[in-house]
Amino acid sequence: MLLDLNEEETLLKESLDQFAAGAIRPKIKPFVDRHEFPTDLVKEFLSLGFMGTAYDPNFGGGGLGARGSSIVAEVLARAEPGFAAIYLCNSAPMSVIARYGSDELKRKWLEPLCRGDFIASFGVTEPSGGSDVASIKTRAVEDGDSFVLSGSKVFSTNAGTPLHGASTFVAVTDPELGPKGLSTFVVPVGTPGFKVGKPGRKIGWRIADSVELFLDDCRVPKSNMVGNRGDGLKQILTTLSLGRILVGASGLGLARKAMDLAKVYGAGRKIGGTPIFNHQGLTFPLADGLTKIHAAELMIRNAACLADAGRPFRLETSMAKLFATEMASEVADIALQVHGGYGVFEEYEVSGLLGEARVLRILEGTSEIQRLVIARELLA
Amino acid sequence: MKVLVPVKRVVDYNVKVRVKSDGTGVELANVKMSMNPFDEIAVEEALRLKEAGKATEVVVVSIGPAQASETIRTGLAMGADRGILVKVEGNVEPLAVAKLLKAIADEEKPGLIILGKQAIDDDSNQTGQMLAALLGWSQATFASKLEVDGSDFKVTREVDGGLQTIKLKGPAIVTTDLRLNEPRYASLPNIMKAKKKPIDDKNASDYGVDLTPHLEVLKTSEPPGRKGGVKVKDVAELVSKLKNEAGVL
Ligand SMILES: Cc1cc2nc3c(=O)[nH]c(=O)nc-3n(C[C@H](O)[C@H](O)[C@H](O)COP(=O)(O)OP(=O)(O)OC[C@H]3O[C@@H](n4cnc5c(N)ncnc54)[C@H](O)[C@@H]3O)c2cc1C
Ligand SMILES: Cc1cc2nc3c(=O)[nH]c(=O)nc-3n(C[C@H](O)[C@H](O)[C@H](O)COP(=O)(O)OP(=O)(O)OC[C@H]3O[C@@H](n4cnc5c(N)ncnc54)[C@H](O)[C@@H]3O)c2cc1C
Repeated sequence: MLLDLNEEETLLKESLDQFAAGAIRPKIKPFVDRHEFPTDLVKEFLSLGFMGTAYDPNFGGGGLGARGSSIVAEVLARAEPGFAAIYLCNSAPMSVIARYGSDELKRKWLEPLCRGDFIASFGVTEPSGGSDVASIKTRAVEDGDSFVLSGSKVFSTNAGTPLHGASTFVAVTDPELGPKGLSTFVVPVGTPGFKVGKPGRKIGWRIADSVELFLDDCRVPKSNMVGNRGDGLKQILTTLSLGRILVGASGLGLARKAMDLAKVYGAGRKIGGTPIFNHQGLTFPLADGLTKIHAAELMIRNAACLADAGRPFRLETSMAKLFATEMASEVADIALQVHGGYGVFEEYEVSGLLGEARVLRILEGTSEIQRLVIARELLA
Repeated sequence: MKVLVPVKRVVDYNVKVRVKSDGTGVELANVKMSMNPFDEIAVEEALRLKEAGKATEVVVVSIGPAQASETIRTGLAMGADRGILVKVEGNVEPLAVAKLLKAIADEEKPGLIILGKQAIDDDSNQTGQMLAALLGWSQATFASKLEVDGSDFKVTREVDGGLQTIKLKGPAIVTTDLRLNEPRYASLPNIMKAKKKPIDDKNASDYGVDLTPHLEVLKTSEPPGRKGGVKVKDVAELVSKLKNEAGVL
């Protein structure tokens, strides 16, 4: 069956479930309350090597592809959605290097990222609008054997944390070529002129930090260019598309978490002597929610299988991301409703899930952008 | 020194166990199964001995259905070196398990066998003790600390009155209690290696052990539901209820 896990996936899920229950769950609440990056917990996670789940074993990865990676995102999100955010925002730079980088670049950056020596971030979105990637303004000017980058990025997740080691930036190398004039670069932390802004307080991805990045004449060697000059747009579109599987999987994990909370709370609540779950008015929405969770799971798994098999996956990942993230908002809302008035108080974990779910409908392409991709396919 | 660690496939500790409607046992269809938690502690202890240079090889053994190979893989993913699966169908009693383990110990000649003090499904708490008797080895049950001293061992045991420390002559049997250690999470590199580690496939008949049960389960039933508590006014009422109603004072 599509959802049957192979031996490695089974062991992967088992170990992650244990990490979620034994490490994340008992320790995460204060970090969520303070909107704080859980440095030590992330370090512990990094030491287990799971950041490398998807990638080539020749560069220290697990070779488990998008299927394995989506299991990681789902399990982490079910424990705490922001933890999945840290994982998937690290996956974006890793994917672009793994798919397009030279062996030298992979040795230098992918291998330590798989090992978990540090984490990375992706700098695509700019203040002028994330939905139109082609409108990127950050410049990279060739100068001898280096490129000099200048510009700024917004919402770069992981970049402000003490574990951050490098960022991948998309910048304009050849303005006259328009969308074909973009290229991607690895910029290590500590490069002169690379500055990090302050994180804002968000209603979702509360423990992950998303910051502004400034490049002020940042000089990097030419060998830090990922793949070919001018391939930037193509690279982002593919990487984002792979990332959508993981954002969808986060939505799936989040919805399961909401369902878990609703089940536990509802089972103990009686009104007028009757358990509230005796009312179909309350259980039918949950039944619909569970059905959609299953549909999302199938869509995500299918998209991951397509990507791993090297078949076209852009349409299916867009549909899986759109459906799973909108479903997550819906299920979080149903779960909150089960909690009655208590559901809006921050002591109740369910209250935070609406904001957490909301984020997923915006990044790696908003729901509208997914619909554009899907409609384009319909009209093609 | 080779360390042998028997691992049992049991219903996962998070599962809310349900009794089958006909009372013949508990529902196992579509139920999540995992390694007995006390056995995870045993695997962890063996791995720590190996990492400390005190053990040379860690071998995990499971006696159970074909799917018990998954439990062995879990042990291999934690870091054990190889596995032995003895395939049996249906319920195997502690004595039969102990006899099979004795036969394996005769072949493998480990310096130490670490078992869980009990399995969380039948809670028998017998296998380690029976195995020690069959092998004629020394044993330390309910271990909360294990130290190696040449081929001998110093073990701290959790007993009713507190902690007891005993010295064992090797080869020996140790059974684990909860506080011995905290088992590790299997890392991705170890998960990848697990697939390549060998599992020896065996049958009970390979060891000439008779599995005929000596016990018959007549009926399995749910424990009675908990009654709600009552609130008392003051200490005097509490004492009076404990004396006159509960009869515990
Ligand atoms: C918490 C968080 C973390 C993030 N992390 C990262 C990161 O690590 N790296 C990174 O590069 N980016 C990151 N992003 C940025 C994210 O990818 C963008 O927010 C997203 O692409 C949307 O861009 P925008 O915010 O500029 O919205 P805009 O592009 O300004 O869009 C505003 C609205 O207009 C709609 N819209 C735009 N164009 C169309 C159209 N053609 N048709 C219909 N509707 C349209 C959008 O759907 C949206 O509803 C993150 C964002 C968030 C919220
Ligand atoms: C911010 C806030 C301010 C408030 N201020 C006040 C105030 O000033 N004064 C005051 O008196 N109260 C106040 N309330 C309480 C509010 O009126 C209750 O929260 C509300 O009536 C729901 O009750 P409950 O929270 O106990 O949920 P429950 O009654 O426990 O309901 C839990 C869930 O079960 C469902 N349910 C219950 N019975 C049935 C049924 N028969 N069929 C189908 N579904 C059912 C509910 O719809 C809900 O989804 C406030 C609540 C909040 C959140």
